[in-house]
Amino acid sequence: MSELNLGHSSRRTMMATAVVCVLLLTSLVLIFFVAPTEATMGDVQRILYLHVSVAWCGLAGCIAMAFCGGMYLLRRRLNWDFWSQASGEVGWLCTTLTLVSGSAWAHEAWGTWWTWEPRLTSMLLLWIIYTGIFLVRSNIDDPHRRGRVGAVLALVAVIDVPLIFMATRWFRGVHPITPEMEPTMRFVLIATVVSCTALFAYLVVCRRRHLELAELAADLDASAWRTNTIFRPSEAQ
Amino acid sequence: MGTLIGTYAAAAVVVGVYAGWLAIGTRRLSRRLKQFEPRDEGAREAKVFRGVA
Repeated sequence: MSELNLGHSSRRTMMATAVVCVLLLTSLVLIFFVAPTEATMGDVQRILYLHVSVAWCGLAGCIAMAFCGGMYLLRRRLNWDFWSQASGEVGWLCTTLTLVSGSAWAHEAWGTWWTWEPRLTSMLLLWIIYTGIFLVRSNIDDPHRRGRVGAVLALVAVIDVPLIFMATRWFRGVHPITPEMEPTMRFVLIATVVSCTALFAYLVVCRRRHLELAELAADLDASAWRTNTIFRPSEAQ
Repeated sequence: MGTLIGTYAAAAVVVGVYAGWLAIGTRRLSRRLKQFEPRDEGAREAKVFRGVA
């Protein structure tokens, strides 16, 4: 690598940050001031907009992590592993928020924080798999070995995604399948999903950049250390 | 209402902390890496780092 691409995209980063902030603020206004109050559950039903959006991002993160991991196995370029790790991390974050928001809603709707029903259990399984993948990756120093192991684990993890999608249809449970919604509610839900997806993509891009810079710094530190070792005067004599 | 506000607030805090960590970490790394950029007066240093793949 002959050039260090540092700080040349700060204007693009600021614009992306502004766009994501505007989308999120718009979603919050829609959720709290435009979406009608649900007849049965009242205001707490508004958790649905956050819950569905982050759940979608959690699943998308797993799919992206597996895809990028597969591309790393094919191309053996570390950039694909950076994309895989970044997607997985943000996906893990979204899955955590899904479980937390779902528990909050479950407590209000069902009177319990948790129940071992298929959709919830398969989502918790995904969270456990995500966590396991990061624990394994963190214990591997060599970046290419870490990429290989991470990619294989990600390709196994993605098997859980269709299970989560179909859990409410294949198995009996209390989690709603596709509830009927008023057009305004549906519009607010779609708008929130779009803004959360934009936030997901933004965080993934930022994290990938962070990983790339960290790897570059580690490479240059190692190179500088080797140079100092070779040219140290006391060792040359 | 408390559950609703608390859930959204918790999500905002978690995302904000992660985004802040990313921003601070990226800025620190960029500043640290700037010292490795080749300078015109440091031709010897530039020769050293041109070989980094």
